[in-house]
Amino acid sequence: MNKAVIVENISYSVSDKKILSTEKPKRIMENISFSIPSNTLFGITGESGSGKTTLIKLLAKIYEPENGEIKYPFQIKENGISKIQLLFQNSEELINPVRKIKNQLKDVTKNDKKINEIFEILSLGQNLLSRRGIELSGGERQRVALAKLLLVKPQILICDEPFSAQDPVSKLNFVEIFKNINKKFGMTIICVSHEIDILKLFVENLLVLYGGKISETGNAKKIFEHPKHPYTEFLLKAAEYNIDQTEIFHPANDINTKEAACPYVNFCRVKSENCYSIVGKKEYGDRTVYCNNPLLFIDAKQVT
Amino acid sequence: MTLKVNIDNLTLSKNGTTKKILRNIDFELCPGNIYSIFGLNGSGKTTLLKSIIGSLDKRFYSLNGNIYLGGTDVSELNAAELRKFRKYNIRFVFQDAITSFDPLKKVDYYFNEIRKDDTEINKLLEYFKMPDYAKIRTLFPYELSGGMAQRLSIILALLSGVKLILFDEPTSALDVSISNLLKLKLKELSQYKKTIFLIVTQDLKFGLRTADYAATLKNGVLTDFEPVENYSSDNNLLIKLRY
Repeated sequence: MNKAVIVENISYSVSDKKILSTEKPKRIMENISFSIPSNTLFGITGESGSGKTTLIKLLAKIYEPENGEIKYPFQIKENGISKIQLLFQNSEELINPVRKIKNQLKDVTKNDKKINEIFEILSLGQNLLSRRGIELSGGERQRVALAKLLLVKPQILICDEPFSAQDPVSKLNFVEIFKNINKKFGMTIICVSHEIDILKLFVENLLVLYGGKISETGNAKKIFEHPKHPYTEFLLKAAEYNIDQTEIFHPANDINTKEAACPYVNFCRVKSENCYSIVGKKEYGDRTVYCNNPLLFIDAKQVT
Repeated sequence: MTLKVNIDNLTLSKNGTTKKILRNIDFELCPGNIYSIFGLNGSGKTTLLKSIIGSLDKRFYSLNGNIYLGGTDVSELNAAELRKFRKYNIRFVFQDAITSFDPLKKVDYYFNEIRKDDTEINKLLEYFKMPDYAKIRTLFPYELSGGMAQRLSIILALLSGVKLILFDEPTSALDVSISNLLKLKLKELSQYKKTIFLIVTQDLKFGLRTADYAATLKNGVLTDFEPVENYSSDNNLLIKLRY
């Protein structure tokens, strides 16, 4: 299968900007490798601080990785416009409140037909075009911002938490929109969200991040059905509000998780001694698990 | 002191318009229970909470009906009395937690206000995975992340020891593991301290798994509170909200 992105062994850290600072640079991502099949819906999930936003900023070439490489099978910039577009979390602020929507979209393309086509896919009414940014609701502004990105026909569309601040019905509408865009334009869509329930509805492949490292990646359906990494198992159970206190808190451990090879080691229910020094990579057909003791099917069955 | 909430035929409209934002709302909340109200954007959830605590500006809104909190009719109180009543009886956890703090005051100020000893504060901070109290108390609200501010807001409300706590979208900035902890804590406090919790939320799963009773708000009309078991699944609830 063709790949839209191939990520090879990338790391990223930030350092304290203060002069004479003695603090070590903070590692946010460490040795991440994965690939995204083209024309698919790809989900990235994890809790806050897991590195979701950093990862997509690396994918969108906003940040440069410290080492490693991100490969694309296409020319990233065409006439100065990037073929990778990013819909930020606060995307509605992209829309100027005082200018008419039509004029704002004309900045991108002069072709009315194109605008109408995109508006139809996003189920936006034509009457919005003559309105000003301030007259639109938050949800409408977000969809207009998305329309603006789609007008440049990107190869890859990356969305950062597109479902936050939306009610359950609008979330479902947005899922339909993503499916439509993917089908109509054959566009690769990378969607970052902590809402597993929503991702379940549409992503074909999934990547689970914890503490700046990959826990598990691959076929989304299989991961949702039988998670193999203990963290994925925890996350899926937590999304159903089925965990009790003892599962969140574990006896304090002396070893700082930042130093340990597996960031989840202090919370893991299947950890072994070697998890502090090394993490094994295991392949199971179309999924990869970074764990020394991946859960067996029978184990996973008990929790789902 | 036990506190019972009794809302009697509450109707709210914006001055100068005929449109009613809330219509004939009637309900009773009893100590030791958790209540959830579900609704889509713009259905009037936050406005309902604000009218219960009397924080809607009377110059812009006219409110009919009575709001009894433990025998006191909140709608009859003047501003000073209302402030005093709220201080001892109600806490409100706002959706936008960062701006609900005074930007010029450090976190320390709020902890000093509630006058609890450090062990109790530490225990709750640790419970919500914010172990570094010494550092947190020196921070200004703008230095907090959304999730941290929301957790602090929840912690301060829980520490206050009042008998009625209202939550406006308490999980909007929280990770699922923290939301799970919140659910467990609320269940514990409602059982042992007989606190009333009223949650308005769009997080259907959180609301259904946490609450004892739930109702839906649509176009300003609130259904009766029913035991959550009556809502067979969150899909079922979604359909109710949609149609």
